[in-house]
Amino acid sequence: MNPILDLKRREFLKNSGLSFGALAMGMMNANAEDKKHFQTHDAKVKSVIYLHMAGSPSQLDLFDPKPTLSRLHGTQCPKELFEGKRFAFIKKLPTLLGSPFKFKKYGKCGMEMSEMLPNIGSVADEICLIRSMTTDQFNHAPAQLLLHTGKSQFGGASMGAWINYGLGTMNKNLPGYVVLNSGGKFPSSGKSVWGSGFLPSKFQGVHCRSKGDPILYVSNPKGMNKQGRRQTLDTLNALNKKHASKMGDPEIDSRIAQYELAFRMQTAVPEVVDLSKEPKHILDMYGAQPGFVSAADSAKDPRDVYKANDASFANNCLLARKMVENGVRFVHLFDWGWDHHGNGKGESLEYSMPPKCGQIDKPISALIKDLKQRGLLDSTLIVFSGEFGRTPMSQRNDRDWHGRDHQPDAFSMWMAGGGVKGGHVHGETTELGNAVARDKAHVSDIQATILHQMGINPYRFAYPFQGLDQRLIGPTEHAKVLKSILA
Amino acid sequence: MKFIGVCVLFLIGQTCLQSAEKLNFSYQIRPILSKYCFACHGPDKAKGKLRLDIQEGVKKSTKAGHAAESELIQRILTDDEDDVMPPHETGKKLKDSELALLKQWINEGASFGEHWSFQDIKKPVIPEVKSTKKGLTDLDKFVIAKLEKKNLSPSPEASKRSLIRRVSLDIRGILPSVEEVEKFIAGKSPKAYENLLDKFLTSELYGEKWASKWLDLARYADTKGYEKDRHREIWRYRDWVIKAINADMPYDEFTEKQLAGDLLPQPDYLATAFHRNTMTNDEGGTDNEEFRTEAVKDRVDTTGMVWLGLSFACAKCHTHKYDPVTIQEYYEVYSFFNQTEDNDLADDSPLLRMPTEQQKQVLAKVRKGINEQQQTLNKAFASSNIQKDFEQWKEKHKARWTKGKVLSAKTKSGIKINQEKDRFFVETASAANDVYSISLELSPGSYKTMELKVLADKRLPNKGSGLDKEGNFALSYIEVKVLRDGNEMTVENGSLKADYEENRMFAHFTLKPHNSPNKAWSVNRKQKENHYLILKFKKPIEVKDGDQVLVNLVHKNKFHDKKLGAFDLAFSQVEDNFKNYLAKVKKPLKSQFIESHSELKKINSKIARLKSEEKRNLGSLTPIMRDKSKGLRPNYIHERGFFLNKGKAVKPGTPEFLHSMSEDLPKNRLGFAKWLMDKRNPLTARVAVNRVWAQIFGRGIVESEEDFGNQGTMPSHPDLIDWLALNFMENAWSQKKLIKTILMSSTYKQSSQVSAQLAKEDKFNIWLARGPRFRMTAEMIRDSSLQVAGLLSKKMYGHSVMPYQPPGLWKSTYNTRKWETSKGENKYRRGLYTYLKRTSPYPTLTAFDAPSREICTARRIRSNTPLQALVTLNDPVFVEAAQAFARLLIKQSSDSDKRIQLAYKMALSRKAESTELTALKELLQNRLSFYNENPAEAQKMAEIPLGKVPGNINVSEAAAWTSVCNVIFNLDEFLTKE
Repeated sequence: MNPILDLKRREFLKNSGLSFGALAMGMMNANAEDKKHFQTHDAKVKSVIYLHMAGSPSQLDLFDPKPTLSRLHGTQCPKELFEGKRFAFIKKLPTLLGSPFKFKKYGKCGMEMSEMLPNIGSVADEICLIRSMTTDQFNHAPAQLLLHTGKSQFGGASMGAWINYGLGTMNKNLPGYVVLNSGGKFPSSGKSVWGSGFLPSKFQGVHCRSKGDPILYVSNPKGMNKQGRRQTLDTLNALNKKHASKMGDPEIDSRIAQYELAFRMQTAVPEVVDLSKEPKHILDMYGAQPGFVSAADSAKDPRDVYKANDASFANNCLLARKMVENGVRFVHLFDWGWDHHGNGKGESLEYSMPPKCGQIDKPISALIKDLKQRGLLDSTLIVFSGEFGRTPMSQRNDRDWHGRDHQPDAFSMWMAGGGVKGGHVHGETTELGNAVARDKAHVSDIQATILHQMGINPYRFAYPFQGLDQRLIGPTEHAKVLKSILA
Repeated sequence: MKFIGVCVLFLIGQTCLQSAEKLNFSYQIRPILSKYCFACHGPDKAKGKLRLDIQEGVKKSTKAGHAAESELIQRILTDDEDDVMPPHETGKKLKDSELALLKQWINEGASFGEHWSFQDIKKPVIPEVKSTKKGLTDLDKFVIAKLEKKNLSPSPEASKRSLIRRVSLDIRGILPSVEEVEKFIAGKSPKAYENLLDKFLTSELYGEKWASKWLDLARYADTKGYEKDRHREIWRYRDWVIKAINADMPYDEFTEKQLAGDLLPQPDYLATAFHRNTMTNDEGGTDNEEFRTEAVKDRVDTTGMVWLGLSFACAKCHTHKYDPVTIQEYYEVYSFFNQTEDNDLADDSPLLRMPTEQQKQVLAKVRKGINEQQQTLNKAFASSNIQKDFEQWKEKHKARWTKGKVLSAKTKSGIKINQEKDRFFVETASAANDVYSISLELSPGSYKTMELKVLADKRLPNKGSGLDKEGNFALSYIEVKVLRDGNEMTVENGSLKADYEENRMFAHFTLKPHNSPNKAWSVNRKQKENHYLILKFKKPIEVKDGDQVLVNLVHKNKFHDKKLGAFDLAFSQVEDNFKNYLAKVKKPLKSQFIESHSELKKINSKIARLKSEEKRNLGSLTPIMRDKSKGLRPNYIHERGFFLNKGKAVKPGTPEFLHSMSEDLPKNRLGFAKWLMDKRNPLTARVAVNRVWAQIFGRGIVESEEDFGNQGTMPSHPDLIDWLALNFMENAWSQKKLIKTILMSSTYKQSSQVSAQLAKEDKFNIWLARGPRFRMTAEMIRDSSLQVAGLLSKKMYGHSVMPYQPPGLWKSTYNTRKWETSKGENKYRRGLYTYLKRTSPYPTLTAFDAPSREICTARRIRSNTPLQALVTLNDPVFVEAAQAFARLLIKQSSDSDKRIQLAYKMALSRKAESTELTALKELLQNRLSFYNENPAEAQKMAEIPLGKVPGNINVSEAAAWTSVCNVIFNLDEFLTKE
């Protein structure tokens, strides 16, 4: 967290992966030249807020209208959409499923999105919608890992950790990478999706909780107030300093600094997570409720108790703004409960999609508007996505409830702020929405684009591990910066 | 002498470039080429047909003795954007110093050499040293020779109290007791130190300490990983590791058992759980073969990293860019591992039953009892009296259920119903809704129940009982009518129950007529078994002579092929309760009879009791490795690493750049394990000794413990690592002997004080002019704190435990299992027994860099963060330890000075100095006056979470001392091995 110490350690780690000669040189001049190695251009963006809808919402019901699909609703799926393809659940020739919802044109740009997202629609002119996304994975955990860590197996570093490693935090009293979650469950890939993988563990996402300590153990023990903690730390520092003078090990000085930093975090963290001081009009704008406890957090199956007015996600959006305002580099929101297969009521499009949309629609539009009115939208990149898309086919035909299977070949995501074109639609899918028709974009392109906006050259941004220069965008050169979506 | 260039380089930087020492290609030049060139001109790509990792390529691009005329140099120096190397877009550029080294090397003749770690291990000459210091071991000479060349002097020996603390932490992972320290300090024997090592090395705590490292490599955890991340019962493997390490099992045996214990003449299945620690993906809609192959690849990668220190993983998609492992060789190694039975199944099979010793004894007794009772039962059953009873019972039983005489069996659609001896059989389904109507003539009587048997039939699809593709049916409802004198009377159904129903396809839907296409009874998923539905009429059917009973089985759902295929009907005048009926219905007649017979019933219930005791004592099931006995899998290259892209067929084989596999070795995992442990293998021993060294010194001789390949760090002491490796092999792969050799050295025993000169010239203690000093591991920090507080449990082995963790951290998808804080001493077990859930590992251990063990971790990179400070300051586990420690000190003495002195002895193995005493006493006074004024706060500080302060201790005093102990547990000196 101390940028100076971090840099030295980092330079050391980096150089020590090389050779004696390099190591010697590196130690003698841990200079600025190396630091800039991957920063080949100016940063457009200081912070990223990534809104991940875990489970993957259906693009065909939210972002990618398909009139033909609606017309052919209930008919048997054309064989070419089925044969020779791998699906997670569909095993026999399914029928096509038109959206049970309507689409509307929003904004000056006339961007078509679902009737369930009127508030997000109201900021359509800020949004750059990508309808031509693809990924390689069609199971949740591997797909989430691929999207956020660049590899579908465990062990990779999350993009938040990468950015934290590369750029550090702008406020050393707060972590550089914060994770907020809602929906009652963690994403399928668990904590690895915000883990640091092969990067040093200090770069991993710090999970900020809505109940109990916002950051684990940030509160003093009961019976120890701030003054008491100050007294104990003063004594501790004095004893540690004495020991440092005896042992001469600079690591002790570093530890003293970490304890002081911890003390400052004890003040800074509760302040930044305290929503109660926000004015009422801001709380209303997001639909946030300080101290809100969701029934979903304790439900056996959260999907049974989802309500459109659940404020968990709204609170997290407001927190994200506060974090960014206070210099956090990367805020990762995970909202669980978007896996609409239609196997039952709780995971059906008809029953479960409207309340989920209700939970996110207003807060997300508020986040965009709020950042804009504070002059932060240009320097903050907002990204919204699931981990893959959903099929135009109904997963099962024998149910009252409907849903879609996983689809890696075509899905939608969007970005806002942070130097992307507003009111812009990139790419197009086929008539039935099963594949990309134009301007295909891969999840690694999104990674490259995010890094690029932060002033990082995605091809050069590497960390030596296991004999390879590990990169967020993976080992091949396929990833490309989506220049055409940039303003 | 050959490394002098390197050493000097380190000391004086670039001036050494004019050094007269000839450069060594393997150590000084190859790393530069690897860093800048191999990615394109290496084993994988060989752009422009040039490979700089082999002699031919190096020769082609250099002109020996003439750097300026060598293309290698010209291409680096050129201004031509198109020609310059490395290409501009890579962003890589050689440093001046590196370029100078390349030039010097070419001018010196451009010699070539293999990568250092791929060369055979040769016995190094013990270097001559100037130092006349007493007690130098051979090991020390390798270190001192380097120091002398660098004009660095070794540090004096550490104090005895430092030594015993260091040794205790290194061997046992916990602190020495006050008595141990005092005894060691008082000891005068010249062998006191060696005796101490020997004593500690025989402690069982040693196995627990060193197991942690191995478990990181083995990616041992208590859950299966991925989305659902469910529990996995594999803790017995962890116990196996502890026992093996304590027994000092030779590394070759340790290896063979874990990689191929199932193939040994005397199998050790439990050890093979090593490679069953791979993850299993229980997420819905996953392809088992995909994740099985993932697991096999993980086994290859882990084996490569643990034994060879190579990143095999890189070669699974394409040939390795830096090391000479081709994609074909990767899949040849994969072939050794690809024949095991496991298949990403949710039950983690194959599994091994593992009763404990105590359970084994119970089992033997119980099984004997079962045998005896069974014989008694058989004998009784065979007696003529009982045989007679049985015959009578059978008659009665048969008479109970009747189908009467079948008058007709037809369908509404006209499709034929065949009447067979024990069933009705329908061959095809109509294309519309259909009703099966069976008309029967029953003998007069009062019928209370009807049974519908649904029969799995080999002639039906999928050997099921229904007519759809999967042998399923969906029965909408059942109507029963009585025809009397031309009038039709509907019988009112009362209630019904079936032995099985598919989720949401309930039997009770069939009770009354309805029109909902979704409501039907189905036995999907278990359609290959017979099923029973029993229906009670609201009022008994009073059948008279001449009556016809008509049963309609109505199929009204939208899937027209879901109809009954094989079934039967029967009526009874006896009323059963459902539970009894369904419990009996599937049992053989003999069992039903025994259960109903007054005499046999008694013996039978004895057997049942014994059997349930047997079941309770079978022991846990541990996943193991076992090769398939038939249907061996063909092996292919997976193009680009994707399991469905089958490339060229391959056979088991080892990489060509390493020693060959002896002809007499079997081409299976066992053969592969033996190949790994072949003494000609240049890597296994080097990698193993380096790992042990790194645990002790905080940094390996090769810093990149996980990578001994071209991209890895160069060894700081190449001859020393070889000397240790040979030693290790000569000592029959004994880890204890290896550790002792290291700990006996003067190098290890040096004080870890950092002089100003060393802080400047060797910050990271690469050259070892001082002893090791670094923060303890996550487990050691937990264990030491609990130990000093008097809380640490000595219990070994068993199920993993759950110390305190804040609520709400476990939120895995489709998994409702909760963290439940362990009770009693299990709350205070050593860190390595903590339950490890991969997607949500215990946060306190994670804060101190313990990995989540989803994959093999060869090195924990130590960090120093504010979050760590928050843990040891505020985590209730550490607060509780401070509370317990405070109470212990208060009980021991009434004098503050004495209490602090005791605390220092226990926690730091030394006395407190006067300034330290003053500082802590001042804190104590401040806290005491605060708590005296705020008794409610005092109570919280002293009691949450440990519990009530005993009556003879003043609460404010306990609270103030808790604050003092909280400081002691956060001292850098406490958290550090120094």
